[in-house]
Amino acid sequence: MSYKRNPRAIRLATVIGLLVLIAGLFSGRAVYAEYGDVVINNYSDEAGMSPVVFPHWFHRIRFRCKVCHADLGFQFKAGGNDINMLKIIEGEYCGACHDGDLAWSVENCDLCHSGKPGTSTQVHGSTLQQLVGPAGGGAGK
Amino acid sequence: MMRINRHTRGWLWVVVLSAMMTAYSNVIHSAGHGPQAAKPGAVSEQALSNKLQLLDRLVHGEGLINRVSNSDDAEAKQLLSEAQALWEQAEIKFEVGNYKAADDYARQGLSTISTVSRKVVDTGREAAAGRARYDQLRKRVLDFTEAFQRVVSEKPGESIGPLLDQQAVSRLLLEAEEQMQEKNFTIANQRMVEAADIVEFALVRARDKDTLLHELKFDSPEDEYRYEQQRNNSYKLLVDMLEKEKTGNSSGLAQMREAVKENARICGMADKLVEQGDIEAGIRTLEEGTEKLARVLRMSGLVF
Amino acid sequence: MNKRQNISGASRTITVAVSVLFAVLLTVWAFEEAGAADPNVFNRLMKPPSKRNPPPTLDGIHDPGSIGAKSLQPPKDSFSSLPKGKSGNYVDWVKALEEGKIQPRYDRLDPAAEPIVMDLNIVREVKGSMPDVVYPHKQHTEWLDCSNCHPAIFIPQKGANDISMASILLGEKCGVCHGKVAFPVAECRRCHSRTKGKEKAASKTDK
Repeated sequence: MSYKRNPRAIRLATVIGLLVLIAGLFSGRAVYAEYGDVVINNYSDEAGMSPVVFPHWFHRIRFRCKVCHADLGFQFKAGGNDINMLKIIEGEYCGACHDGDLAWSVENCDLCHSGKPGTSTQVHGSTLQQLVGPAGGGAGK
Repeated sequence: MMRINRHTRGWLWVVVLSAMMTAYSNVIHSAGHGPQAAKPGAVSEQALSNKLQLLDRLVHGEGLINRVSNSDDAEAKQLLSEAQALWEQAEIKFEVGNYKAADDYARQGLSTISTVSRKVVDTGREAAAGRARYDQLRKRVLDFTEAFQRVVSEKPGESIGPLLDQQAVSRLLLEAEEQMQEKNFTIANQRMVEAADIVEFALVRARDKDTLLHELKFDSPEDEYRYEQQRNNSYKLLVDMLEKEKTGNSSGLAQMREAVKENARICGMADKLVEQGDIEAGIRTLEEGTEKLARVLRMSGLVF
Repeated sequence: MNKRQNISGASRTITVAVSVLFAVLLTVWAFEEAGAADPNVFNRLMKPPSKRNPPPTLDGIHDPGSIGAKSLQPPKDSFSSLPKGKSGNYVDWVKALEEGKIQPRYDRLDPAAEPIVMDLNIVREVKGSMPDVVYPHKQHTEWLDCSNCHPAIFIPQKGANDISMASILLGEKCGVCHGKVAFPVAECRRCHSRTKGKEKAASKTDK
């Protein structure tokens, strides 16, 4: 079987393929963070670091709420805890577990500071935030 | 050797271009602003510079240096100078452009200075934290003891009192206070936690398998009207907040503003009815107003 | 003169078939993304399972170019073994704990520490036709300590707490956790579970 030499057909196929992909490019797919992720941007912006993304789900599997919120003094509020690197190294807040013993330590900057630069402190995926604005935009509670 | 003719070449171009565009568009979507530069495994200059700045602050921080020199811990002193040396090494490598080596040194430096920090504890900060925790725990013990006494008074027939070993609690509180005076915060707080646990256990046993019914009973129609006003107000707050901060969807916003105006009118009407003496009607009117607000909230996407 | 050698018919067919398949898949994907699909599609506001729990590089919060985001565990990997839920993380955390699928520590250092669990139900009557709310201390005290809520968020006294749906959505009272970390309030019957008319005043629970 031989093809009809049809350069027009080939050009058409290429154009259609490209159009399909361009449609995909501009589709504006919404992205969703994992529910319960807390973005902490107390001092990160000033220091030129990406903000911290704290994944609640990962920690829920390993610790009950009481351990962090009753024993370690974390307040139920995104941005309501004055956490900075010095305190973490001294063993306060995150440093109580991320000390190289219970969990990895501070030399892995990027594992915590993995947020999109400029994202404000918020509880991502919270009910209000989903209504008020898209990811990174809303000032959440 | 297979020579590709132009038909196949054409199709192959479609496939190749499609694959490239797919990959590109995936990156576009995830980045949101355009493809990011970092490859996995590569250390970005900015990130490394931040790391070195942090390490600099830590190894040359006066507070830590003083603590180490004032302590008797020889190992800590040695580790501190090691950390400082690692920082210098990292800086040298960074300037030369050897980012991988600089990152390795920086990581080791951070790990070392972390160890030093924990070896030579900041007694001032520790004391303050210990004291704060002590106060918090003490308040907890007293609050829950009070709660326990309330349960006892609510259930006069049953012998609940003995569930709480009050003597043990008092003894532990005393011990904790003594340890606090001697600045033994860890032990003091341990005793406090033991005391708190005793009281919490007692409460758990006192209330085991109970059901408490909080009925919606009002002392008077005025009371119910106040309750309705508060409820209406909470919905109004939510609509206000959404109206102020919601992005996009202008028709939704218009609906919300309408609803807020309508609600204000209804509240006014309800107040008038109450003034005229028909409190029941006022309550019903307010309920309707709240329901309207709830409806507009649901229309804007809240599911409740 | 046939200078160019045509490749065999079989190779040609394969190439064509692969390209067509690719194009079809791309079209489907593009339309799925574009949402240019049927505007009357069933449950159009709901995220299909394929879009839930996205990996860190695609979730919109993590910097997809950061090494950190690429090294982090994608939630789906972790959730695959946990009981499914209908909202939030799409994981039923209470069930996961009850079935022993997860063993979160009650004490930072002691994996064997047992929680202090209080089995006390509070039934709150609500206005209108909605079933009354049953608040079960048991499921909450398995995770939280008494001091987490009392007295800062809830005063442990009848009639002392004004709770409305709006306040919960605003992030007060129950909304301090529900709607942020615990399951959001989209599933009414999980809380509004006691149909009106049942006489249960101050009686024992039926657990």
